[in-house]
Amino acid sequence: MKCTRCNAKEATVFYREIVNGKETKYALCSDCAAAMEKENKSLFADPFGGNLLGSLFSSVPQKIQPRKEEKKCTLCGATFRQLAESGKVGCPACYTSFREELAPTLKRLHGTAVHRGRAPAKYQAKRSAMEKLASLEQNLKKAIETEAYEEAAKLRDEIRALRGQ
Amino acid sequence: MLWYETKGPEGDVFVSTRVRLARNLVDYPFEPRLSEAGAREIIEKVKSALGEKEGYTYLDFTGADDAKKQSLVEKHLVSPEFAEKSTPCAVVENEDKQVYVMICEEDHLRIQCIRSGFDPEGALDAARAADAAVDASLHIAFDEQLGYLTHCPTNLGTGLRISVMMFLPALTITGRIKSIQGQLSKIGLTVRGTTGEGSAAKGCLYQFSNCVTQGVTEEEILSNLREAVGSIARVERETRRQLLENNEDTLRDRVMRALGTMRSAYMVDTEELYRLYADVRMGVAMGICDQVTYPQLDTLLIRCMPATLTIEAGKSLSVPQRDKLRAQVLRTSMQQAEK
Repeated sequence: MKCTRCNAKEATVFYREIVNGKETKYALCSDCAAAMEKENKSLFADPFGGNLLGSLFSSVPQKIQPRKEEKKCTLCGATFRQLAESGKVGCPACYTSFREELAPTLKRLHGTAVHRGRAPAKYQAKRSAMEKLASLEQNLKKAIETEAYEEAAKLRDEIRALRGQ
Repeated sequence: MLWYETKGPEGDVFVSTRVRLARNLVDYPFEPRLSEAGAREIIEKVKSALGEKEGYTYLDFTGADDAKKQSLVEKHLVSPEFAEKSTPCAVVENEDKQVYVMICEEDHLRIQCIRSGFDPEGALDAARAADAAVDASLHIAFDEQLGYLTHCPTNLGTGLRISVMMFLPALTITGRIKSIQGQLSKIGLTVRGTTGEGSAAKGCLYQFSNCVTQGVTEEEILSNLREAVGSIARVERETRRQLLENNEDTLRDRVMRALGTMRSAYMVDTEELYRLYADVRMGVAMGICDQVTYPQLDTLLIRCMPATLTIEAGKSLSVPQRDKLRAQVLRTSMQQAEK
C-alpha cells in the first residue's frame, strides 16, 4: 500500500483518528509520519495512563515508531510501550536496549545521580584499575612538567601495562 | 534464635531493623516474561551459590502450605507479595535464621537480614555476606552508571532498602505522628504500615525506610537513616516523658488493665492483641511495669498472629477457636514471664 500523503513510498504507519465521531484513516510512510509529527499532529496521543510509574514514562517525547519496526529489547523482546504500561522493565537488558528512552524517567526518579555504591567484584577491580590509571596519568603529567624524564618513562610503562590488561 | 527472641539495641523504640538488597541475574527476564523453567533455573543457581556447606538451608516455596507461608510473613521474614505467588519461588535461610533470600520475588533475588532493635550495621554486614557469596558464582546485572539493575527503576543503584520497625505509642496517642508523617520526605524517609506497603499501623508500629537508592553509597544511606529515625526516636521519648509527667494515673491504669487482660482473658482477637501489646510495651518502656521484657512481648505478638497460631495448633481453626487459643497462649506466657 502506498503512503496516502506522498503517494510515492510504501506505507508503514497505520493510524485511525476519531474526532467528534468523524473517522480519518492514515496510511503513511515513515518520512511523512515524521513530518506530521513535526507539524504537531501527534499520532500517538498519550497511551499510558493509570499507574504512577507508567505516567512517569509517558512524558518521554514520543517519536513515531512505525509498528513493523518498533524497537524491542534484545533479551526479552519487550517494547518501550510495554515498559511504560507496566512501569517496570522487562529484563535487566532493557536498561541498555532503552537507555535513551528511559533516561528522562530515571532522571525524574533519581536526578542526574550516577551510581556510587558497591559493585560486583569484577567491576570493583575495574573501578580500582581506572582510579589507579587516573593517578598514574596525573603523576606522569607532573613528571613531564618538572622534566623528570626517567620517572616519566617509568610511569609511561606502568600506564601501558595497565591499559594492556 | 529468631530475631524477635533476642534483645536488640534501643528496644524501647526500635522493634527491628531489616536490610534488603535487590539483585538480578543478567540472562533472565522478569515476570511476567520469566518462564517457569527460567524461574526453576534461577532457583537452582542460587541454591548452589548459597549451599548447605556455607550453612544455608533451602525451602521450596512454590507449593508450600498457606499457613506456613503466611507465618513467615507474620515474622517479617518474607514479603506479603512473595507469599501470594503461584509461580516457582523459593527461600534460602542462613544458620541463625536472620538472613533470608527470597528467590523470584519481584527481583530474582531479595537478600534480607532482620535484626532485633536498631542494628543497621549488623543487618547490612550479614546481608553483604550472602551478597558476596552470590556475586562470587553468579553473573549479577550491573551497570557502571546505573548501579545494580532492578525490576522496578525506583530500586536502581545500590538496590538497598533499610527498614526500621518503630514502636511509637506516645506519638500515636498525642497525634503527633501525623505531623511527622507529613515531613518525612524532607528527611528522606517513607513510612509503611505494620505489615508492609499499604497496610495500616497497628500496635503503634510503623515501618520507616530510605527513599533514595541511587547516587549515594550504602554507608551514606545508613548514616542518613540513622539520623532521620534518630530524630523520630528523640521526639517519641520526649513525648513519653511529657505524657508520664502529666497523665501518670491514666497511663498506669491503661497499662495495668492491659496486663490484667493478658493474664485473664478467655478470648482475644487480633485487634485486641495489638492494643494489649502496645499498652504493655509502652508500660515497660515508661517503667510502669517490669513483669515482661521486649523480646517476650515481641515474641508473643508474633506467636499470636493467625497463621503462626494455626501452625502451633497443628490444625486449621475457626475464628472463635483461634481467639480462644490466643488468649490461652497469652495467659500461660504471662504466667511464665512473671515467675
